[in-house]
Amino acid sequence: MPLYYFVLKNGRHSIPDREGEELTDEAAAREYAVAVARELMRNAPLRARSWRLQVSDENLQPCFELLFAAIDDSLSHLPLHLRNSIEHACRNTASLSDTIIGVQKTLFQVRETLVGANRIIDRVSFGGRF
Amino acid sequence: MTLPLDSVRQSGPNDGHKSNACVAALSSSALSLLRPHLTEIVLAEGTVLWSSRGSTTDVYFPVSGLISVALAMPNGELVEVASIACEAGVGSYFDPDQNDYLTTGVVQVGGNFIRISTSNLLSAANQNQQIKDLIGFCEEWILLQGQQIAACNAVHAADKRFCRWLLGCAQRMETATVRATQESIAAVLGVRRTTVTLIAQDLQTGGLIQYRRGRIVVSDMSLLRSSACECCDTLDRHRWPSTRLLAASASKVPPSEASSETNCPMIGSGQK
Repeated sequence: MPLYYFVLKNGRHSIPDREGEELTDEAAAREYAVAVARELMRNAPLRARSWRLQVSDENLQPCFELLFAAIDDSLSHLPLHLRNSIEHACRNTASLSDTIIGVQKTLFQVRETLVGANRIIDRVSFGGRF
Repeated sequence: MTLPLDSVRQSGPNDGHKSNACVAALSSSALSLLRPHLTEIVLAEGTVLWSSRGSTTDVYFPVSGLISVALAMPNGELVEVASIACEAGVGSYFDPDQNDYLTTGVVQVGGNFIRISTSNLLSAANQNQQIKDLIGFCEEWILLQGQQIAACNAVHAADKRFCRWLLGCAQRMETATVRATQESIAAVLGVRRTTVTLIAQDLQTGGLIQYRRGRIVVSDMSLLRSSACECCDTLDRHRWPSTRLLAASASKVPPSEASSETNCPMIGSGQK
């Protein structure tokens, strides 16, 4: 049976499940992902609506991404257009947090580069005096 | 092996040889009634102590392990409704004539346990009020946990329940290292293994725990507590049978004798 990996994206971190789960096919992986998402979301849906579960195959190639808002039963009493707009907002929040994480990563790299550059300048000027 | 009196009585959290805090809280007269019937045994994780199909006539007082009282679901899943470490004792039930069990008792964390047969415990209880209290406190403790966990399962999120469970284990077993596999925690909380892994990974990223295969080390107890649901407060130290036994005996002992008592709730009552 093929192995599937699950990564939780909760807006702050990407949290991987390194063990993976053996499941018959992608449909079974989707069913399993929905079950895990429901367990993580249960009794705290508001906090978790913009979370996502990314499912990858055994070569770590992404298969699909599940937005928690799309399976949130606590929204099921709402009319369809409201439900859709909440889902849309959650999707936007999720991509915003992806962007923020990306910017933070870039800033970190810029800072590292600057530190490295300073070190080179120091070394050059130190060499220049002698 | 019959336990020497000293190994049961004189123990504390820093001793090499720990004891069950509930047994250690007994007065010497109560303990002398039980002592000939106590046996210290080692049980491995997964040992079934009793189940709806097979009974036990023994009561177990964990020393270093943990017993999970669970309900079997029709699909074979076991969901925990109470757990017992060194703060209490548990058996299939304290009534030896009872033969219709709902619960299953499983060793969740392997280790040392003190065993006594139910009939010996009950006959000692007939002669000694403190042993009767011990049985009553332990029964109430299991009932309280069942009620609290039922409410907790209904309204609290999985990550908070995970923290509640881990904190309870660490506090009652007096250790920062809890031996448990993701599969066994998943069974305790009634969720899938992947859910437990993702929660544990998130807590690890936050610096609350360190997770290695089959072993969780609590790095920050107060952070863990603030991440757990408020059920922790209800199931806190003051409701443990061992604490209640010590409190009950302290209120009966004359002040001169009570002064010899130590502040540490896990050390024997000090009535000599």
